Amino acid sequence: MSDPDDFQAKLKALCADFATHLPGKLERIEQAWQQLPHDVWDAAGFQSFNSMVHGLSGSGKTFGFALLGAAARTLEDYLKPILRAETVPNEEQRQHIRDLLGELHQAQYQRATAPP
Amino acid sequence: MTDKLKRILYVEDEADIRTVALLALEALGGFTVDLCHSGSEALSRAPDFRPQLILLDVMMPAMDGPTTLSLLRELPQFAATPAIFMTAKVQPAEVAHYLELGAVDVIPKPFDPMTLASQVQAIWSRCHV
Repeated sequence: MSDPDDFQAKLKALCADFATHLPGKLERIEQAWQQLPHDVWDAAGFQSFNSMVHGLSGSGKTFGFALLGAAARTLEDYLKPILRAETVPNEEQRQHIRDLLGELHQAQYQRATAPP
Repeated sequence: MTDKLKRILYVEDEADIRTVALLALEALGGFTVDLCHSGSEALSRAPDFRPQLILLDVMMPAMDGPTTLSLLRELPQFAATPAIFMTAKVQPAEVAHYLELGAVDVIPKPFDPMTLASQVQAIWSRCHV
């Protein structure tokens, strides 16, 4: 087993690495959303978009981004019935998803002051 | 005498989560961890690694955690290996479902890297009372 200080240093480095790559992840999520067609159900595309959001909901808090993780979870929960229905989101749903993506982007700037 | 937990097979598709869990389990728990990024990789690596405990993410592309576990259980050497699911779905009914699938417990995600090793150890100890 490792020295606690060494562990903390390594954990801090992982959190810093996560933070560094976070903007790119959010950009890819945004691109995945923008590429979804408005007029036909794209199962693979929607699943890919959902998977990326799911990834953040499962990892955000672990790396010190609790609000980001919560925002991702909210979006993921909103997407579930749409995925189940396999129906193209209507305009109201699309606007809500855009709003939730906006909250996700904002949450990346609200990091815990110390790693978990 | 209870077997000491040493070898954990960890199945998780998200690279970030694999990395921090590996650090937590090895550095704080002293475990030897074999990382798999998919259910199919887990099925391939498990026979040689001989895990004493299997830790699985639930939601993974291609082959999810429950499917992975059910296929591992078809291998005689893993028919009774303790398995723990890691998932954000931890409502009582959801946990009951995972236990019905053959897991011994569920660890909520997101997990705390400071306590993951001790959670796993506690579950192992409870299984070997």
